[in-house]
Amino acid sequence: MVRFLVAVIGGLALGGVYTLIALGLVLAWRATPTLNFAHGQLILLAAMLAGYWQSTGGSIAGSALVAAAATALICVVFYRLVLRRTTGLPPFLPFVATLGLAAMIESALAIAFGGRRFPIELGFIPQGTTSIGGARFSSETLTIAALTVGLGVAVAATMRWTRIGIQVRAAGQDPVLASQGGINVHLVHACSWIAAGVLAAIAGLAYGSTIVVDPSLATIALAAFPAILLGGLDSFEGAVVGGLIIGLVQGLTATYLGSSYTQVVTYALLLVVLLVLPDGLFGSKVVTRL
Amino acid sequence: MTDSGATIADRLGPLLVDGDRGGPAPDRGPALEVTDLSVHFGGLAAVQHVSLTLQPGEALAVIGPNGAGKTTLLNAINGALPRNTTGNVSIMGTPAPRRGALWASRSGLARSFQHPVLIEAATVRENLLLGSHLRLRYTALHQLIPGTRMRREEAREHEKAQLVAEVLGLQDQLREPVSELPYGARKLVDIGRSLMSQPRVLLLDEPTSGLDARERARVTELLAALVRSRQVAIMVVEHHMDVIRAAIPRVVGLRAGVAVADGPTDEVLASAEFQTVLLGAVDGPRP
Repeated sequence: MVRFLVAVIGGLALGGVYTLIALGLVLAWRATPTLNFAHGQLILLAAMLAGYWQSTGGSIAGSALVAAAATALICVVFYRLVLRRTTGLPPFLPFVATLGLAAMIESALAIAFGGRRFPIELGFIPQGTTSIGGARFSSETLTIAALTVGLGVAVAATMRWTRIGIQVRAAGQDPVLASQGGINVHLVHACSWIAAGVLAAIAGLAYGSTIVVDPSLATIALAAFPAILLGGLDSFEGAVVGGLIIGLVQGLTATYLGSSYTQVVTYALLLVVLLVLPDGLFGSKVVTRL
Repeated sequence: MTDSGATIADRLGPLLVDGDRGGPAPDRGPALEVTDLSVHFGGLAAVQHVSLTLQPGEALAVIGPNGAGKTTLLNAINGALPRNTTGNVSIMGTPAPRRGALWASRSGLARSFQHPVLIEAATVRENLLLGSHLRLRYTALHQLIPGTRMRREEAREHEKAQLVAEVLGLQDQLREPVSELPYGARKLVDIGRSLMSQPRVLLLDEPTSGLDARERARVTELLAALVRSRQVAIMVVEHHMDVIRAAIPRVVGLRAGVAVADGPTDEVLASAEFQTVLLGAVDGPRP
């Protein structure tokens, strides 16, 4: 039982980070049908900036602001200067553009920080341990799990039930129709990319606080791709559910089979789901009228 | 007449009178003025030097053979082709900047599409309400948490959506996802969405294509009621001459992107230009 609880809590903590990453990817996808392959680099950028800020004596609040502002600024400039111009062009062009952005961010970080590694201290999070069901858990892990999952649910609920969420969904589904309804599609898309950048920053700080930040942190975004494919590429609810499921599966696999099996089990699960539900658990089904 | 016996004009009355704007449009000149409008796609001239004027409450039909540029003309007026268009468009006396469809819709222009564009995952009611977005004055806070005033306004728009659905015969399908509707019903939803914004200028692109006889009669009656009300300026692209004769008093004929006729419906449809050029006979003016 203790082992199970450890696996579940650990999985939820990881799942919360995946949820935030997946939501950022879905926001970018809904705005400009683009899989943002620079999302991992944005997460890394946020974590590096936050770690560097703290290493020079800055506060956690300051580091969070700097990180979020940097990623948000990069996202909105990238949308405005690059993605808006790829509207109507072949879909591989924005995809290639995000690869270019990823390369630029990685190179800039390598130039700025070289091989330096940074710890991130989230001072406002309780330290110590907490007992649940006979098992002892890091209070930091529990808090991060609760905060990330809670934030992910809040974002998905905002997209689902508020008027601004309706605008985002309408603008993403059909920009022409949304414009007819008076929705400023370009503004909505720009704000979606800003939100994606902020979510990347939060994910970077949350995940970066559990490890020491180095350039390999960017690969966390690749680990979240199964989450959005499982949940449905265009579904906010799917991003939350997919992220938590993948996190739980990896937690349970690591505990009972060993960490070397996590990728195998994750992608096997993804394959089974996609064979039955090609659009994922909550993804929109494409209707073709003959 | 609708099933209840009330005329469509009676039922449309509350929908057409714009309480928020204080009734009919103030006298600011033509509802729609198109001056020397041309649309090019690379080397192809889809619309060439078209000029027309539509006064508030006036209606005209745009006719012509396939490929004449009718839908392209509507797209250009609507602001959907800012990079391909030259010439000037004014809506309610205000020149349109090259800012796309958003400016046009906020200036009081609404349109339906030749192939209905709808939010597939949404219901009929939700698609109709998309047309209300312009009229609901959301602040940033109301986007997240609607207050009492906003809920009241939304309730009013829900009632309007019910009215529009009844006028179009969709009242029993309000809760159905549009993805499950037949083509004719989808066209009606698209038309209903355009009415929901209470436009000053209404562009309808082949509103009766794909409709069965009963649906076409309903739309014809709706058009006639809108024209009689003189509350909204209407430009309709249409291939069914019986619909035009029944509802629209003025016709503009396009051929190969050029306006070759403009006048009262009976005159244009009886004219040599219509018989020879617009019906695609051998002789006629070359662009």
